[in-house]
Amino acid sequence: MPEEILAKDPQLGRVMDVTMLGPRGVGKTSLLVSLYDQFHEVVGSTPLELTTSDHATRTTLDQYRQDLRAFARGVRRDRGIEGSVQLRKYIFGLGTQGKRPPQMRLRFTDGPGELLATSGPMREALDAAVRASGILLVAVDSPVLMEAEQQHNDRVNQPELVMEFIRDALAEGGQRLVVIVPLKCEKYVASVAGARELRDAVKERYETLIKNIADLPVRQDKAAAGVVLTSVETVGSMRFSRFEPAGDTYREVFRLAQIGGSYSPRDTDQPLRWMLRFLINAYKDRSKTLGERFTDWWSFTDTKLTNGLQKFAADCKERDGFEVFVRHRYLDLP
Amino acid sequence: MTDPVSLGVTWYFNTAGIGEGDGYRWLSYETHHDPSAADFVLMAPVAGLTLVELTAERNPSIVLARNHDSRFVFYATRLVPPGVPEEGDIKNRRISASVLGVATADGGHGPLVDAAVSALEGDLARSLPLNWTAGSPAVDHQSSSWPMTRDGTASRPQTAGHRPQSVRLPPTSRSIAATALASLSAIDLDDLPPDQILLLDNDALGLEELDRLRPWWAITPLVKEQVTIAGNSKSGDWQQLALVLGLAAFAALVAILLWAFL
Repeated sequence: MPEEILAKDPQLGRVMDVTMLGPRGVGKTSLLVSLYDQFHEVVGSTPLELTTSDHATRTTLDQYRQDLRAFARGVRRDRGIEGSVQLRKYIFGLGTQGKRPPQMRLRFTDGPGELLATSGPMREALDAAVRASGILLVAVDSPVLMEAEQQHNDRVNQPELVMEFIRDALAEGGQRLVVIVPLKCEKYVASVAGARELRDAVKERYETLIKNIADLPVRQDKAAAGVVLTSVETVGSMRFSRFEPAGDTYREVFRLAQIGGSYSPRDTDQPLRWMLRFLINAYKDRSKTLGERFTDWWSFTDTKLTNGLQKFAADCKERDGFEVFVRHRYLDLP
Repeated sequence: MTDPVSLGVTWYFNTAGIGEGDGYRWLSYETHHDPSAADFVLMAPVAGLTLVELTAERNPSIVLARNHDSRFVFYATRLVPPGVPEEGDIKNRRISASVLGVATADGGHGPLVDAAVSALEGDLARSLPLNWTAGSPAVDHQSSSWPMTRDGTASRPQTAGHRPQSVRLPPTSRSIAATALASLSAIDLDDLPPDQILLLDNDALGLEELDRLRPWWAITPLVKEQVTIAGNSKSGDWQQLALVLGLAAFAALVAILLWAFL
């Protein structure tokens, strides 16, 4: 279980670990690209900065970005983006603007869905990542959930496996946040009614998980978890059109929402806002050493950073595609 | 066909087919070897990083190293063999292949070095013993191009040469690295310490990381970043110095107060 939601890494300093679970090719890495690209726009006057900490993250995101922008213009729209095949980590720096090195890192581990049904060292590495993560992000392929009477859902989104996996992780204890993120959801969130239908479908399909978490024994300072839903449009301009037969299975086909449409992601910041709200509350709740108190006092870092994070985390959406399924004390406005 | 076991190397290939059930998976060249063993090699650290971390996610990469347990390993990714289905995988995504070689006996480094030279020269992909029958990948044991038996193995010098020390090359210099690798003697290779990377061709690692890993040859396009990293690191150093001076001043103040009041 995570000792603290903000762990200390000898090389990286303070790290918030996030494990992303979801089928390969659903858009987990694209979500990170959009989140990174949009951050400086959505952060507003808050003096926060998101940076790519390591070169591998920067290079990979750049390559995904090129594909994503081409896809958003309708180029190669049926080809999609080549999915990851291995357990990968992406590291971002988060801190007050201009501060080097940044005060904290966000380490995202991408757990391809295929790994959930396997055993071996990759799976063990995924298990270890989940144990260390205070935040579990469940990426959901929205068209698969919403269309064709969910006939592809069990195979693609693997809700039973995901729920079982999270249940095992939660059994280890600690304070955790589960963020359910429907992706490729542009078609549904275009209207309030569609967003509600999507929310209801998620709620129904992940009911066991939500109920399990809601039923966790609520004890002060003991194991507990919260669950939030945040629908994200990673591309904005492309909407699901239809499933096309491909051999013994199907292929997702997307179309431009309007002629001349281009890359215009929306709400990519929402998962991060919820994660940071959870983090700030957990961070304030932590026990500080004397050295940490002195360092924080000396550099004023703590005050500036927590004020910035607090301001950023205040804008969490809670309706029309966004909802708190299970409340946790760390989800309250800090 | 040469018996690969006699060369002391186990080969694994990772690729996909066009069908739903044909996602990326490991195939073993030797039918009696468990293909899933490849994952254990991929996750074993070399110089503190796994082979997965030493390769780029999207672009081709090459690693030749001596593992922490002294076995030589060779890993090349994102290769596109000639027979790969043009339509791509189930989602029309381009199919690529990776090859992993593990030396299982003394002297097994020869074929791995040859494969690395071939990869640097851009010839490795067309030598891979893979075919796709009805869209599903399989190892082609009839392939005459595998295992790698380049002339280099036979003509490798038998006396120790000048051991290279952490050379960084631009990506256009793959042929320089290939020539240098091919001319390495068996004695030089035997002398390579465990946990040491011999060759790293990877556009995803920054100079800071390369400096820490100290591969004998690193091929990287990253030249401009050096300035940025130096700048960042300098700024971090100043902040640390300021903190240390501040702490020293604080300690001195406390000492003076204690001396004055006690």
